[in-house]
Amino acid sequence: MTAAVPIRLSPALQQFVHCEPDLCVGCELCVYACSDVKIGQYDPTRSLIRLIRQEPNEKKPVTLTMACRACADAPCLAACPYPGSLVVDPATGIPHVVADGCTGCGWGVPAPGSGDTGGG
Amino acid sequence: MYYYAGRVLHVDLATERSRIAPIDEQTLRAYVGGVGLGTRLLLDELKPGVDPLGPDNVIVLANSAFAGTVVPTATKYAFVAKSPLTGYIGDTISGSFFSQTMKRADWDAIVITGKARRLSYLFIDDDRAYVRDAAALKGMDCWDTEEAIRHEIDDQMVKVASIGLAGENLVRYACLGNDKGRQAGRTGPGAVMGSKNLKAIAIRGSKPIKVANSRELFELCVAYGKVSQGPLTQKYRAPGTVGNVLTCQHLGILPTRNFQSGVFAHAEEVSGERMMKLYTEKSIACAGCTIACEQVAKAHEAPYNDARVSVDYESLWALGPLCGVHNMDAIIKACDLCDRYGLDTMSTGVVIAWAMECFERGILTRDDTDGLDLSWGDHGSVIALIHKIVRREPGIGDLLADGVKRASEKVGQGSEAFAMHGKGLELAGYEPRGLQTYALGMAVGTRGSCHNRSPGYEPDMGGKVNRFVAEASRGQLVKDLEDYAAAFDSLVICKFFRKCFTDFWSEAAHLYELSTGLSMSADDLRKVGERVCNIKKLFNIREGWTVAEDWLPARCFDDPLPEGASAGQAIKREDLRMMIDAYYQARGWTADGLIPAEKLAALDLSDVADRAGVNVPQAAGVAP
Repeated sequence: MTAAVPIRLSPALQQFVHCEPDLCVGCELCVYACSDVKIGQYDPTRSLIRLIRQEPNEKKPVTLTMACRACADAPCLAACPYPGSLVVDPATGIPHVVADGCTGCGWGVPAPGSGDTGGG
Repeated sequence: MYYYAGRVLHVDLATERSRIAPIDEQTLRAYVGGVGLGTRLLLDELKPGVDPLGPDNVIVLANSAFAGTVVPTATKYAFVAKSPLTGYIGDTISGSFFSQTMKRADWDAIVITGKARRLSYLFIDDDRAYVRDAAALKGMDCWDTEEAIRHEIDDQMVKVASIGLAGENLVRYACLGNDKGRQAGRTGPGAVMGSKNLKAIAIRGSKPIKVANSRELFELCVAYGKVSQGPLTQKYRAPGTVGNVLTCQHLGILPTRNFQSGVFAHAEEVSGERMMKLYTEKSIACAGCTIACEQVAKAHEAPYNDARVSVDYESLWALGPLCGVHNMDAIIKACDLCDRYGLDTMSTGVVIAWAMECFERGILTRDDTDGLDLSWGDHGSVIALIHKIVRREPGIGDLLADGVKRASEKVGQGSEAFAMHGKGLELAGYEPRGLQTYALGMAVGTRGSCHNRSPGYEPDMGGKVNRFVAEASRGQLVKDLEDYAAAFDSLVICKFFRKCFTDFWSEAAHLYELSTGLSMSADDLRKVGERVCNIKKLFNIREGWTVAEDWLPARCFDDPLPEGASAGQAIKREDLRMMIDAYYQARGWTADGLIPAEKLAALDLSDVADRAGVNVPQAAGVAP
């Protein structure tokens, strides 16, 4: 399975979570593990990994997790309408939400790859 | 400090009022969760002798102690009520995101009483409960109901357990479906929901889940996760449980044409290996599961090519070989229909197979079947019957909707002898005549003949014991296996994970301590297993259980298996009697299968029995 849109990675960051949809079974354990490490609790809405799960129905089932890939020229950054509320750490390439500036409008979320924007 | 919610939600559908009741640490430790906690709460809440389909039955949903944590395969819940199929304890388990969300709403259990005035659904929004009108959902299938409720509440994070047409029409073996493909399947939970005008239970939970020692639990569960993706569980992933078709065929224990044979001539055509090669699209897992046993299969050939559903061994067996059907597309379609209508595939297959044998013998004719040809293997008729059963169509549909026990009692003419059930629950896909340990378990089971509550097929098929020989030692073996299964069902951990433990009792007790913060030793957990088996029995005794009901269908004694690796095998009545006596003795029960006062005291059940008003004999071996 190849990604529809090739994503160029930030040179500063060499590792990120990548999911192979054909192998993923949709168990959500990576989502739990992430929130456990980040906040010490199991909470899928505060994990930095998200599960997308389309149960079998008219279409073939889809299971897939997504996490920030810390893209160079991050699309979420371009999509953010509030300048300064989403910034990229130059050392790591990871985008961070600045709590004071973010209105939670959600424009940054649908962009492919989402660091803090996936974590809510 | 402990990491249960420490509270139970009580909802009365008649008055549309709810209340929150605390639940103490002692009760939680003694029953853990799932089936154990559910049965305990049911016994506390339910009046004796009520009609299972009347307004006085009580539903208890009891969550796993590990729900929503990283403990693999443990995000599961139990649905417990008095069974409309058996009249006894109806404890059934399902899992996945519904269980996780119930935990996130912070409930250890939910108790539902009364009957709603109109078709309704219960919406539990974290701490609040609402009874909402479900008129628009009437007649909708389980999967569409989930989507419709999420759409109405406008939140994809809402998880739903619902019934389909079968539950609405009080088919006695209607099931409850959640997360589009997981079912609380057996003993008729869907009919209990339907009798309460309760179309669905929807939950939204927004709280984080905490455990006592998340670091150690995480390390341990990563290690378990790796083990559970290795060879010990390989068969569940490829080809899936459907691999049992050929395993059972080779042992001559694949029940075929209503248990007329243990060998199916077309087994290769309906084998798991063939399914994997030609029909399986994808493996999917329950929430928190590292095994992923659900094999989603897609039918190809018209008129069944709209079917796509996960198929497991029991479903494939019941709607395939048991009815003589060897058209894989038709079997997938039948499973799909059952899941959507909310029907237990196993009971459905057994009751249809019984009708087919009645047809073969001329007990039922085309005049009785609405003109359907119920010859073995006629898959069109199997599909047609499913549609008739869920609608309770006058005649054959209504007859079969009550389960094989009631149907055979109604039809008579000797058809009771081949009505394959124990205490009203239809048998599973293993042939008791070729598996003596399993046969004993099927005879004495508290929820009827159930392979999940009494996995005696494992030592039989694995060669640990001689499967053709009846011995008194099987009494102790079955007792141990039941306690073991009851511990899994109460923690709750999926039984497919069982081989990943080296020493289940100490390892599972340790996981429990790390997760809940409550102390639990291996011996404590053993006692939980035994206590849960006994409280289920206590429930049955109160509901009128008699010793004669611990028995098997006449076919198991009178018709030796005709062919295959178990040819000539049958069960001798005196052998079964001897094993049952040994089982009662191993349990510390009386010769009449009752629980004496000393046993109740040893399991801390004296108060429970007292409150429930159960007749208790004073000593083992003495009739009351």
